[in-house]
Amino acid sequence: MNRVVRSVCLGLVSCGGVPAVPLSPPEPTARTGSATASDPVDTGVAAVIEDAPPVETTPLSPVAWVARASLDLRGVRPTLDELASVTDEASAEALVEAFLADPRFGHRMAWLYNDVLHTAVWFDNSRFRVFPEMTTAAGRAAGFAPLALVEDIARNDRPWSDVVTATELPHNDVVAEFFGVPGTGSGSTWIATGAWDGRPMAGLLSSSTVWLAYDGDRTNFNRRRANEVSRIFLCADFLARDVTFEISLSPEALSELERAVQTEPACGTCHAVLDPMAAFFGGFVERSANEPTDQLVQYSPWTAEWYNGWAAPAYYGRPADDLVDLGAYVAADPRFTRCATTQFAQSLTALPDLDARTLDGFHSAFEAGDFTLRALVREIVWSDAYRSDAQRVLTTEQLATSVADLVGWTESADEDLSELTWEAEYRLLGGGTDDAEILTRNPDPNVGHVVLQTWLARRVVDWTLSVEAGRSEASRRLFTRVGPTDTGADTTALREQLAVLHTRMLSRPVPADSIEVDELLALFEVADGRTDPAAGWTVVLHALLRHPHAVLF
Amino acid sequence: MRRAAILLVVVGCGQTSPPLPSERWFASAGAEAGSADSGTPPVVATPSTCAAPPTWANTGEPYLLTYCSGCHAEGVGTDFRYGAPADVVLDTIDDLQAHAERVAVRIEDGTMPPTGGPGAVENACFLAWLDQGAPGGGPALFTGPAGPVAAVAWEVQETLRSESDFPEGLTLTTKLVGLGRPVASGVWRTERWLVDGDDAWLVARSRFDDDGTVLETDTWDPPLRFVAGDTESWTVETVRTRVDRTTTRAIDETWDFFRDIRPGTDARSSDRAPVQVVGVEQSSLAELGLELSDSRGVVRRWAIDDTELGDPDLDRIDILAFESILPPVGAGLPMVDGMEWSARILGDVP
Repeated sequence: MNRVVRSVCLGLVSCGGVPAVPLSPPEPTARTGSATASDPVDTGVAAVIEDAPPVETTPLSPVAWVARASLDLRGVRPTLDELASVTDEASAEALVEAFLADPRFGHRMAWLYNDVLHTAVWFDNSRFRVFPEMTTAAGRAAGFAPLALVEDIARNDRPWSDVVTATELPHNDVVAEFFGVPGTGSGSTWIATGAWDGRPMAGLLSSSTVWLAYDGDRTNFNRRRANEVSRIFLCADFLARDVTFEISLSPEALSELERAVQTEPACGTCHAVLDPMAAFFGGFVERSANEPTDQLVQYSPWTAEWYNGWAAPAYYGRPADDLVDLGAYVAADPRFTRCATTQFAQSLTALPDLDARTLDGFHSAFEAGDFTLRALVREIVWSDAYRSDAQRVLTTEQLATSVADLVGWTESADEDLSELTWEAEYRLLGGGTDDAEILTRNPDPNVGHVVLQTWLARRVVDWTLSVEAGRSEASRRLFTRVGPTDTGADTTALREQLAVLHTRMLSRPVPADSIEVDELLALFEVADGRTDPAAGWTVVLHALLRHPHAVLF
Repeated sequence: MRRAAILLVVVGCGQTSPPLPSERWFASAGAEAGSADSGTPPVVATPSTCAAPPTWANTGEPYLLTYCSGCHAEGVGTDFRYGAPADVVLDTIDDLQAHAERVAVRIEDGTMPPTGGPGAVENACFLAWLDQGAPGGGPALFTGPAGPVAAVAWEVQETLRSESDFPEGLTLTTKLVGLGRPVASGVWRTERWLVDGDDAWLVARSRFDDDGTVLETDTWDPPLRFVAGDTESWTVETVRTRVDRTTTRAIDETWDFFRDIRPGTDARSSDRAPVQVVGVEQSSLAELGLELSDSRGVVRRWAIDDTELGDPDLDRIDILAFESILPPVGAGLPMVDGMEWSARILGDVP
């Protein structure tokens, strides 16, 4: 290994063995402006990275559309065969239609909805983190439990109203053990389960996880929970209202304030709806602290009765008895399906200000499709808004699943990529949310992505080369033209392999004689890949995993 | 006239097509300008910010539900309408059309909703749709019968402490902390208990008025043995002395107590071997009850007495300790000095 390759090794990968690199600040990376002629590898990496094509200014090509849809609907990049099959609009449409039918569709929709629900990684970023009974697996399972309902609804083409009316919720033994409630005997497999404590069952309205994440305190009488119902399912967030009023009260006079809330017309603008809706949630523990977990997750008909005494449960003036009634009202509310339309459209297009006509079109398709998410998402993915040329940034969940699929990463490997999906530090670096403090995605690429891509490359490159070398030629995932340890491959074969890597890892098909392959070949050679193929491929894989197009799509 | 001016602006934005109502959730956040207190909000509607075609389902009902129904639904009881007239109901498209002029005026002059809330685009497009005669009708969100008037619940703070004028036992003080509906504050009742291991006796009970003056005090001699270890049933013959502002009376009473281990009414204590102790006075059928939990202490207390000796304002007292600040009490009777908990009373106004 010459000096140059050694410096790459120190800077980009942990030499020797499978890397186990903790997240750390980025190593100084040679960029075009600072690279010197004596750093040909760094110069080569920079050339590959910085000579990336400029942001597209035209509508997405069929290939780019297929790539985007594959990542959005399946969480993985299209295969070489799939990309090769895209010859025109019709062939692209056939592929996207197949992606919609993919079994992974439901899981992707669940993660999209977490941007609304914010429960998936909440446990690990909440005070529950210190609960001794909460293992990593338990926190993740409990956090995902509400989303497992969304996944099931999407996968099985159930009507979206099931999200607030389902009489069974996904449950498994991991959650059961953590919560101290009856299990399913199914291990970590989700099983649709009825109430274990007599609670009225109304989809996510009956979820213990949801109401642990959105707790109350003894002074707001579950009004927070009422507002969350309105925000999540109706897109009507009381806290976002532009209201103005004057009221003169002593700050100490909580009782005076409470009286005003219940009698002043100015307060009634919100509280006339909030208070009766809050009364539905009396059966859940108000404040998620200072109680054992098994107590927190229990529903108490008794406290529900108390709340019925405080304010009669009602939905926008319509009287009701319990959560089942609330779910029925929400499902029948004309805002409910329009809200879901907006939420999924904004997530999939990354456009926060879609115009009403576009959303009307989506909603019409949603309705025509019996309010199945597949019908809604099909309409969105086919729209001009979705196919606009503005580049989007992969979520960390997409990054994890797509890279795992590229390299064949499995849970049997000594470490997995789950940090990208589940740990706040990684998610936030990738512009994501932590479900606790940061609840809005950063839609723009930023320096955090550079850090994340560097970490990811360190994590997977050595492992990938090692595993690929051990696979038969027919079963290799990336090295289909040249083996990762093959010496003496001719230039033609090397170029073909480099074209395969570029096409597969960036979803951007290039011919073997393209400038992109020229740059990768130069990089391979300057890393002494002709005589030390592993060193050459290491640098090439690093360059591709750290390429802007590895996170832009 | 102001209404007409607003409509002109909206129509002006979309002369080639009908005015297009919008909904808040479909409108650009950036277009949501203006507020009620600044007079007529600026109208910045553009055709694409409004749904097309406008209907009751995509424009009328969502607007009414979001901003009006809390007070103007038929099912809202008189005490919960925040002053909204009982005859101004906006549940259906027919209701709306019956009050269309009034609705439009109140939205335009910024007096409804009382504190604002809808954005300028929402208002403009809703009014445009209304001015067209509210086309695209449809069924309303289903309605029920007139809503129940909420019962009254109180929030209290209870403390169990040794006090100087009753050093041999513990005094349970129930203070109204006034966060419920309606609102009040002050010490409401006290109870004096003797506690010895797993046994407990109720010695006396007092009720106070808003000024802290004792209204009446009941003393039992011998005290009511309320908890008796593991004993399943027992009877107490006692004399209850009632002292109020004008009289002192002695009443012979015989109380039958029984102890039962069964799932309580509170699901959160059902796995903690809760114990219910209930005493019934043979003549008056007055009832006193406790529900105990190993982990949560006294989770429920109740008193039912519809005789003249009962609380004149409250024939049933049902107190739920919903948030305890309790030390670990183990399997014994969870009544120790210094305990306090928040509780709620279900019932009428004391």
